[in-house]
Amino acid sequence: MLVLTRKAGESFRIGTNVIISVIKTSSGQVKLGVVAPENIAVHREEIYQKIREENQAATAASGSFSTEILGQFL
Amino acid sequence: MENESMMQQPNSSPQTPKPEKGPQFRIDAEQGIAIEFPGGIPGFEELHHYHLFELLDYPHFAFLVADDASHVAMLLLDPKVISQKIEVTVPPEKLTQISLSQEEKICTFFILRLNHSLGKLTANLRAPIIVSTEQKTGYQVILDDESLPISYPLVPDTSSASAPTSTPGQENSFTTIKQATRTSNGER
Repeated sequence: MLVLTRKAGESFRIGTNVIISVIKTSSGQVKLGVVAPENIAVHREEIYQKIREENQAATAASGSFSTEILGQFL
Repeated sequence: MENESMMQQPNSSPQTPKPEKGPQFRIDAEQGIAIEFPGGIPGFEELHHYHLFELLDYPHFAFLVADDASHVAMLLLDPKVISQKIEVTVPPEKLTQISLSQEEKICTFFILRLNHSLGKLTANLRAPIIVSTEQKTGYQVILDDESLPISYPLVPDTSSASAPTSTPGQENSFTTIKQATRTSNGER
């Protein structure tokens, strides 16, 4: 992993068109700004992981759907 | 194995014994629509080709199966049928994010999960599946609205038991996508 040290107000660039800026640091928190092209989705990692886990759980359970369960929603 | 039970013969009579494992509903294996997911789906980033099937007896549901991994299969819900209870809109900037124009005709689905601990069917409202009906491409967008639950418990609407939310022949998202297929084929 690449490790960079940055101060508030400084930034770094990923590729040619993604810029991450450190806006503010205070009491163990870092406020970051992201400038990225529209087609690049930016998510907090834990949200992405939650969606991944939900998808995997949905897939694993898809064999258990029964007509009884679905019938309730007819 | 799992796949075989899923791909039950569409014309099998109701008396056909149900498989012990695998979804206990019928799909028309011939009528699947090929959908490409250019970016994959979180958790299955490497899978890009799927088929979308309509459930023959349950017009509000669809079944999404990965072409190269039949165990990657998800039950989807057409949100139109529960829209009176759930309002989820995909903001235009999300469409731009997945390279779809705002004029694009899209269909939205929720991924369903059978939650054993809750004993209930839950829908992921935070990250709907969006299908471009023209391009036949699919995306799972993660909405920014943190109030949208990932596990929204679905409750059967008993009050409308005598007045079904959809009437036979009514358009669902699947038929919309299917019709778009016909139109684009006809134009060529």
